[in-house]
Amino acid sequence: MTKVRVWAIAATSVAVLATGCSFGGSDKGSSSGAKSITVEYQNFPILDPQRVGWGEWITGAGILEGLVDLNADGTGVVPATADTWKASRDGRVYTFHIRDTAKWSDGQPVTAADFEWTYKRLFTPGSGQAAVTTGANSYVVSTGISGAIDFLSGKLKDWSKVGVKAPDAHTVQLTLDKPNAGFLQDLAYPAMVAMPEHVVSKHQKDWQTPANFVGNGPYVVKAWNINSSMTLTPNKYYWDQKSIGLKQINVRLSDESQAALHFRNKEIDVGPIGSANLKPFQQNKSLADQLVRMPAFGLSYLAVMHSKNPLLQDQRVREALALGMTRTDMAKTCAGCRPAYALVSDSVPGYNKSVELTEDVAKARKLLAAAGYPGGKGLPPIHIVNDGANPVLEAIADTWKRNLGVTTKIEVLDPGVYVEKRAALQPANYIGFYYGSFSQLPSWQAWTTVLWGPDFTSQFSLSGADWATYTKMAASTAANSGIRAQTFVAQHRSAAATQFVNLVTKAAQNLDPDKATQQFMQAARIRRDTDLFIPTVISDSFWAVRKDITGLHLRSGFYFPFYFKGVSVAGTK
Amino acid sequence: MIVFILRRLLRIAVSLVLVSIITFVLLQAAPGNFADISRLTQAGPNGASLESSVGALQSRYGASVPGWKQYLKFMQGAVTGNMGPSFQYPQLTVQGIIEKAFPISLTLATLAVVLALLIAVPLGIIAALRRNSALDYGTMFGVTALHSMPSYLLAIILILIFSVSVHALPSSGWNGPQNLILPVAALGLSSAAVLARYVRSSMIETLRAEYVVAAYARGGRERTVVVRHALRNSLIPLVTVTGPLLAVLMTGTLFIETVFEIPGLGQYFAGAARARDMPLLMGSTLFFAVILMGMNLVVDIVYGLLDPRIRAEGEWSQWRRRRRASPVQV
Amino acid sequence: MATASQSLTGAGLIDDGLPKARSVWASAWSRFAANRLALISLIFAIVLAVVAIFAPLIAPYGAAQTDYAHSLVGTGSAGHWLGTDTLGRDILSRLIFSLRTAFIVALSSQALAVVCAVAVGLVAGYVGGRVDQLLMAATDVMFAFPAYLFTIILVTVMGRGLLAIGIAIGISSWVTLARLVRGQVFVVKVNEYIEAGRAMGASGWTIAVRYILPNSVGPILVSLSFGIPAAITAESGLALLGLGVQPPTPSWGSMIAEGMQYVLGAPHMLIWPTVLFVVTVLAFTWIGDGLRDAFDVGE
Repeated sequence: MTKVRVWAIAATSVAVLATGCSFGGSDKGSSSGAKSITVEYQNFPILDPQRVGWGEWITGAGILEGLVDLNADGTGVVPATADTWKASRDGRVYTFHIRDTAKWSDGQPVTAADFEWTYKRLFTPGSGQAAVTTGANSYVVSTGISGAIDFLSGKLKDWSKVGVKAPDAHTVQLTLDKPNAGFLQDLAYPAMVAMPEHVVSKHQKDWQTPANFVGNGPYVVKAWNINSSMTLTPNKYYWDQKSIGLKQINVRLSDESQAALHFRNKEIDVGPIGSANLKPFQQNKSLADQLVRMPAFGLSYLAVMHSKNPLLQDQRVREALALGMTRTDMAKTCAGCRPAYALVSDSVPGYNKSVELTEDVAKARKLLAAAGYPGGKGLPPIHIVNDGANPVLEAIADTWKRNLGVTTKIEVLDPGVYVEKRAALQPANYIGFYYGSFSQLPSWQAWTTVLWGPDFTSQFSLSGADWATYTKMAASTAANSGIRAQTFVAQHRSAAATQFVNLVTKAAQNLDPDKATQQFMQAARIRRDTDLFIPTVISDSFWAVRKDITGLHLRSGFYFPFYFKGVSVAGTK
Repeated sequence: MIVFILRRLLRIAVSLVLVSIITFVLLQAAPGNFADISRLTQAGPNGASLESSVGALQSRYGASVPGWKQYLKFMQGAVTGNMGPSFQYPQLTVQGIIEKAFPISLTLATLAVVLALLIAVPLGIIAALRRNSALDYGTMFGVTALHSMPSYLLAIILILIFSVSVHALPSSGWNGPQNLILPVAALGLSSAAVLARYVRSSMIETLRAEYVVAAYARGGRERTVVVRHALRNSLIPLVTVTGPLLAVLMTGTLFIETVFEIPGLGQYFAGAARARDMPLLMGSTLFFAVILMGMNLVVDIVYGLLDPRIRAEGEWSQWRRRRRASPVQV
Repeated sequence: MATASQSLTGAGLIDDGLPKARSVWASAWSRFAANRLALISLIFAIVLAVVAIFAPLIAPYGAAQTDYAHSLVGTGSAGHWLGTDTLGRDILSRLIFSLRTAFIVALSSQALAVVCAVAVGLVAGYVGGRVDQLLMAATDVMFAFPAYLFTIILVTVMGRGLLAIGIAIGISSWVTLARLVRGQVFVVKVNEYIEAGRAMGASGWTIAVRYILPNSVGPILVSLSFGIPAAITAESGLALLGLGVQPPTPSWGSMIAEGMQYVLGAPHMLIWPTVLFVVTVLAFTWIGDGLRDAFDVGE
């Protein structure tokens, strides 16, 4: 009886196993030198280049392609779907020629109309909401395409007035309001890739599923097991077949980063190594050889949260907190981290100490006392909000306590709640900062106009009540509300913010690169002195790449740091 | 019997409605709301594709529809089997996600129960036969030790041994049969204890029964007595524990799936709670509830059919109450 | 398998006319003490409780005491027997303070569970009728929620404070105990002796307190001692999902979750909390087993 029961159960479960479950992802990483690799990457729910998230980044890495790609070190661009282009003398009109051999993976040619349709989708307000820049979002690409912002806010309804034109099947013409020295690099941003109109408009809900997905990049999505793995295979219609070096790319999607363990166990060939596992990698000779470092990848910061309590609006308190941190201690809590004294990455050419703040505990204490809180007495607990546990936060709390006598409360929230809390007006008994980190290309423009840029800084300089008014305006569905919100901000921001905005705008239009740099640096100093955002640490990013993989050019600035194009395994090509 | 089943089905239906209401109300009470969060993260020139998520929700649930209407709309869909798209994965429907993810959890649970039985039955029998010996105490000790640990802690220990210290098995992922070994081992070892104790105490009681003693007195070899009489009867209660155990495991693989990064339904549930994904959260909760209550009903029926003694003695409801009083812990 | 009459006999109820509450305890204790494993576990639990109460005096360092120069040193290092974490905080000290967290969560959740369970169980069993049916419905619903799912949803709603987690766990677990109490009420209710007592004029309250409660003590204690490891396990499960207590409060769950990240380079961060967790849970399990045998509560 027992034996029968046991065998019956075993048979049933084998049957279940055979029919019911389907394992995701196919072969593991290649150890035999075959042409396929396994890459580990952060999981994502949606594969849409125009939807902010990890799916956006991987799409731009080789599944969909834009007009141009970044070059190997991120300082310029190389042709992608566009093979030639020219800019008008005044730097406002760019004309791109779509190469004749550009094709979608179903054989259809990629045309300029695809680009126009894609950018229209990008700049079309979703479901009538005029959410232009509500401040909480920091991925705004300041392309400067004329009419784009107006179209998105609903003020402009006529698409033909927007600076995106496709005069013929192979020509895309983009017109800017003002010259933008970094425009070509902006076009390499993942949100600016082309999308297949003939597929997306036909399969509105499920165009992302592998059965329907059509791309113009070197690889296409062959299979996608949500929350588990994705398989990419070559696009046989891609215009640059020489650059396709792999037979298959297995992408392992995961939320926790055990990539270091997986790499060590040879389950993956490429993966991000978090700071928690950096030391064991650096201490093992064979692993250290396979470690690739991207210096100064991400800059972490505290941003002040708006509150009914005006305490943190006192610039002296913010400055005290900024100067009263001991960043060298904070940096010791994460391998690969260094103290950050400026809101600009030190990898930007021309960076010098003039844009940095100088830690000074004595001065911080004096400031705190002058503001009415000697020794930190009378100061309510300062909250720090984040969407995940982070030792740096605990170090901040520790150094503030030691140096200033300030009590800190750390709040780790669900990602959605974190986003909401950042944008909300806190009650009178709640003051604090939220923690975040940014990464961008190493240019002055990127670190002063894209990150903590004019809009962002202006919004954060608003008082609590003004912030509440602004968010209501921005969320309203009335026509023109986006523009009204922006006007409101311009009228109510602080004087320093206005100075910053004006200087940055001038610098962005300045065609003399040296003068522009000087202006950007001056703007950065003004922004530093507002202390609305406090830099904490800057961290390198590390990836482990199996020794025999070539063509992988890791670059700082985006979250998926390399293109799949051009990657191959040595000895197989 | 029929009346009993019907009564139970009614109770199940009532419970399902209550479960759905409680889950929905709690989710509404939780801070954060998917549409707002979506709008905040996607705002800006890059957020034009709101129509893919917020638009879809609004077309199904209305832009500013009161909570109770959303609830009714969802329940209407649940009854007809069409629960609409998930908020997080608008390209997938809730029932589609369940159809894909549940077999994975089911596989883990089934294999774990098989493993648990393979371990527990022999151990329980041996312990009962050599009652109060060192072997008995030893095996029960070991088995209890394993059971008192939550299965995910056992999983972490197994990962430490087989994946970190020795590169023998994969530490996570879902790429092939090798990924089954550690999770099933963790779940199975953890469940083996419950079963082993049951087998042991059941065997002990049966061995004391008069008819066993009589059979032994008739001269058969000890093994024959054991196999033919005691075993058959002592294993009947095993059904009653295995069934609910299977149900608990099927719905409780949440932590194991998180630790091993397995895309089962438990992981989707945890993600749905975190992201305030109402349809997916409601759908998976109701699905789990149906499984649990359905399995309990099936086991009650089967037990009643299997064991004539119970039916005859009419201890039906008393036995059920006793069983209920100590739910299987995972 | 204990039946109703056995437990009443064990409690000394069916001898002469009066329940001897004292002898319930005395006989239970002697049975418990004879069980070596249970006794040792009890002593261990008491030691843990003492350590938790006097943590600031016993721990070599503070729980939040940082030492950035000695970040992530391993087991057996100078001054840090069990190593340090990434901020240089001593693991041994954090484990000692985490005992407090564990006990707070366990005791608050179990206290809440016991209070609710006894109140509802008594009323449901004694009064019956509507309240009883409500309890049955509530039990059905709670059993319909898979383990932890309800707790996760509750914590999502109530946030991640220490007490909030304790309350969430308590709410998820009171129903089983309420059923137990109700069952005990039934058992005692039908006892003829109670009829006699009522005939003598004893009020419902007196009956409840003097006769039902002492009889329920056994199951309640057993449930408590299994509930404590269950609560600690629940908190660690929540921490694994990212829903545990907020940093920098040390808790086993968050230390284990954090330790998993550092498993390659600093396994001591994972190993020691795991060891302490396992040993503690084992101890309370054996106490529970011992209590169960001592009070002769049904399996």
